Amino acid sequence: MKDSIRAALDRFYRCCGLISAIFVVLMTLAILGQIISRLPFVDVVFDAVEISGFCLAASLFLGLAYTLKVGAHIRVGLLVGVLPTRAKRWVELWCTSVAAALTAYASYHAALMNLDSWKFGDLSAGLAAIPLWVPQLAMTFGLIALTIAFLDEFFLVLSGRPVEFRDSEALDVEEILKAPAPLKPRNA
Amino acid sequence: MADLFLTAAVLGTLLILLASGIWIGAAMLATGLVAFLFTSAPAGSLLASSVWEASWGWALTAMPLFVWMGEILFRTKLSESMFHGLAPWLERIPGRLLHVNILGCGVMAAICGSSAVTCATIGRISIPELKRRGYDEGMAIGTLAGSGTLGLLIPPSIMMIVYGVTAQVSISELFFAGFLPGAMVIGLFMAYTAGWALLNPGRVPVSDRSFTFVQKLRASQKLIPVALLIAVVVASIYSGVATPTEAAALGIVGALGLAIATRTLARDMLIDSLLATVRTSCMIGFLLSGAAFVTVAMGFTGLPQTLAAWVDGFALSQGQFIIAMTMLFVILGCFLDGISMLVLTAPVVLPMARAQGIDLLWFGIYIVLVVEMAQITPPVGFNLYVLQSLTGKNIARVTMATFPFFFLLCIGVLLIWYFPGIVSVLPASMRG
Amino acid sequence: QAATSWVMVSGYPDNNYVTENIREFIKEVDEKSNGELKISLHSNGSLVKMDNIRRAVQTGQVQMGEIRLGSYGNEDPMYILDNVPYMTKDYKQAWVLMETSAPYFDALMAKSGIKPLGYQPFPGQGFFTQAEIHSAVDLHGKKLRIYSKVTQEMGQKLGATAIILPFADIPQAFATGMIDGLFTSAQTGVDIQAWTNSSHFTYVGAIFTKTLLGVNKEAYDALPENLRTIVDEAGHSLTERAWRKSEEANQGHIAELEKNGMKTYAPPADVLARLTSVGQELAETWKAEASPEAVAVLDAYRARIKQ
Ligand code: NA
Ligand code: NA
Repeated sequence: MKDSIRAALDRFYRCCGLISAIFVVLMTLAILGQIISRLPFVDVVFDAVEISGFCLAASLFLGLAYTLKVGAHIRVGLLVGVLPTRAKRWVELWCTSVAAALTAYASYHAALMNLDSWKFGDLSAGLAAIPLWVPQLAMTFGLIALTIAFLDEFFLVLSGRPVEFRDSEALDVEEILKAPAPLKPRNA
Repeated sequence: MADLFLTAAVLGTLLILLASGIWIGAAMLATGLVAFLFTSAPAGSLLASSVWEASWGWALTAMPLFVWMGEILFRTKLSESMFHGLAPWLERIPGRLLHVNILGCGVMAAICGSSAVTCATIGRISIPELKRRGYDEGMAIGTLAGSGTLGLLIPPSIMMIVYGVTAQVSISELFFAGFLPGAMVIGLFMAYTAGWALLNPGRVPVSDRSFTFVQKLRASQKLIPVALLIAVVVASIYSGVATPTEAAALGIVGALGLAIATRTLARDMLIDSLLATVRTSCMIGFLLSGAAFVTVAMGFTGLPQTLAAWVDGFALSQGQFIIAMTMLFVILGCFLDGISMLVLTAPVVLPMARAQGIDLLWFGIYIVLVVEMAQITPPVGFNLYVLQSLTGKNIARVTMATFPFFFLLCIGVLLIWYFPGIVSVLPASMRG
Repeated sequence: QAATSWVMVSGYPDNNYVTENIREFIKEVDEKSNGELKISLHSNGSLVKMDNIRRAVQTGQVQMGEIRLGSYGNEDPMYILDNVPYMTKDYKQAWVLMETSAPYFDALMAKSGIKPLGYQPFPGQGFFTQAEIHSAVDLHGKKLRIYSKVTQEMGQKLGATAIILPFADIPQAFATGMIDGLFTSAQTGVDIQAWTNSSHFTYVGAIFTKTLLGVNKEAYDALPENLRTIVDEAGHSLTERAWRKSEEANQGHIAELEKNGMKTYAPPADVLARLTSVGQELAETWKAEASPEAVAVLDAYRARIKQ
């Protein structure tokens, strides 16, 4: 039971990451579309400004939870890094619970705003006239997923997982340095 | 008095949360909420709307695109060829292969937006090579740590995109503003290295090979397509054929083409590059969301104006203001990474800079230079970590070896202060 | 004494006549209320971005905001009736249209809990080009930067190629030939220093878009009656000043274009005729999409200007 929940959660985060990645691709395609539509022999008016912006938002929010779980969100680990193990555990419980509370609060208000946009039928100002609640749904959903991820971290620490304070750039560099040639380095 | 209390509450919250290791984006959300306690505005609804507004701007779309372009190019194995591609060209300059570190990082910088990654990618190949050939270890470390920071200054630069979005400065102009200062820093580093080599002839091994022009070209043939791709991306922005966002999209197409040509394109490689992009851009997105909320909270409290007026009360000259800012950033830079430092201070520092009548384009390049310094100051200095892992030397030794380059970056700041044209000439020429 | 403090947002920069006029409004309210109602202005989109201002006022994030009506044309065509070329030929007609449509906007905004206090018109617009436009033929095949559905249709009906670009990219696009024409106001021309990229400004007039100064209804109702009256009156004087100031600002900006070596002139007769007929076509399109109540406003307006 416990294992299947764990597996389901991990699949969920990775799915979020992959969907976020798909929106990066869609955004690229939209912008390429705009470049093509502007060529002299193509007679289409295609405005990617709003669509690519909405893809960006979807990508940024939907990938938050995945980014947390791979340890890429930035934090200052320097000061707590030197604490003894027991103290580190308490600090990590404090960090994850505060972060979960904050993102839960943010999710709640994002949902309210999302609901308002839907109720009032807000449309984007550009030529595409996209109902705003659609892209905003990605924000609500992404923030909820991030809240779940923080709670998940909280319970993992509570159940005894070792605590490490690291940051994304250190993580990247570690990976580049460890990688056998041919490398698979990461950007930051 | 009330302002003093507010300042203390905001700063206190931020420092405690940051020090306790809370993710910086979340710490900023909390700081904004604390600031809102001092107003009657609805914090929650403003949180939602400011975060939403901050996350779908056209200018910001360039960020994940350039990150993705870099991720693809990385995976084409081009960094492997950087050392052997550049080395033959540099045999004749005093200091010889030490310059590979500087120029290699400069080329890498044009692909990637991060300083530590630039440093690690080049260093991984060059440190063992330099050691094997008997180069001075201190200089090998220093040139690498220092030049790695070029990733931020030479476009495309994620740091500049973040600054442009935050300060509402044109990203194209920032990119072009970064060019000459980037060349200037490369020049400073190379001049220092050459000077050092002339003063210490015994510590640079003698050249054992000479190359014909054709041999040189052949050695660097793998770098040529990449160089062309970078040139096309940059030229398309400069000539106005494409906005930075569009240029990034074209760059992705080019990078994918290169990957196909080098037979490195595969399903896994594509997914890896995309997931890496997601990690980086969502990390930055979280920071920017927090910063957007703090900015709005600050707007409601009026604190930045109060602080700007307070600073104004000292009647600082622009030069004194910049000196004060530099000290602040150098201290912060000991504990924070560059982008966090930028987004954390922007809500307060940008209004001050504006009030001082400082050109925000120039200020952007200045901040990038100062953030570069932060990359090589202990205890938190990513490039130092990189060199530590690469060489196995302790952080004190690495810092000592790197110090001259910190000093050279300070000279860089002085140069753009006395000759602001270094920053403004190219963007002005672009305006027509 | 318990003074009320309000926050007001505007998306326009400080030096824009719209923002200057708002400052006078704030001053008038402050003086007449003896400091009972303090309004602090955050301009230039520093607190809330332009297109979010309506929602910010509606939800009470801020008490007042300068709302750009043209942003919401996708929701109700009434928002962009004043975007139709030659719907209003001059400031006088723009005033009549404003008066005729005000009750409609009162009702429309009331649905979002916003009370309109006043309106400010934007100066008419024109073509910035690199060569003089002698006749309608000169617009054929021009790569014209447009910014809305109406201007897109207008551009296409004139035979130009409509190009969409973010505002920030205009100077560069002009400098490099991505676009070779721009349809916008003299004010924008001054803002982007149009003389560095173009030499001619064909002042068409033709489009007088508006912004609406709105107040959150709840905040408004919470005021004592004397303050509400003061706010109402200040709103009226803002509107009256706006029509004068807008015209003055426009003349000032055209003069500045000329001072910087640009040639500014009225459109040639056939361009004018073409634009007028395009305007009529677009008005028909507009009618087809608008609600019966909105069409009634248009009919009433046309009846009034005929008199
Ligand atoms: Na770079
Ligand atoms: Na540092």
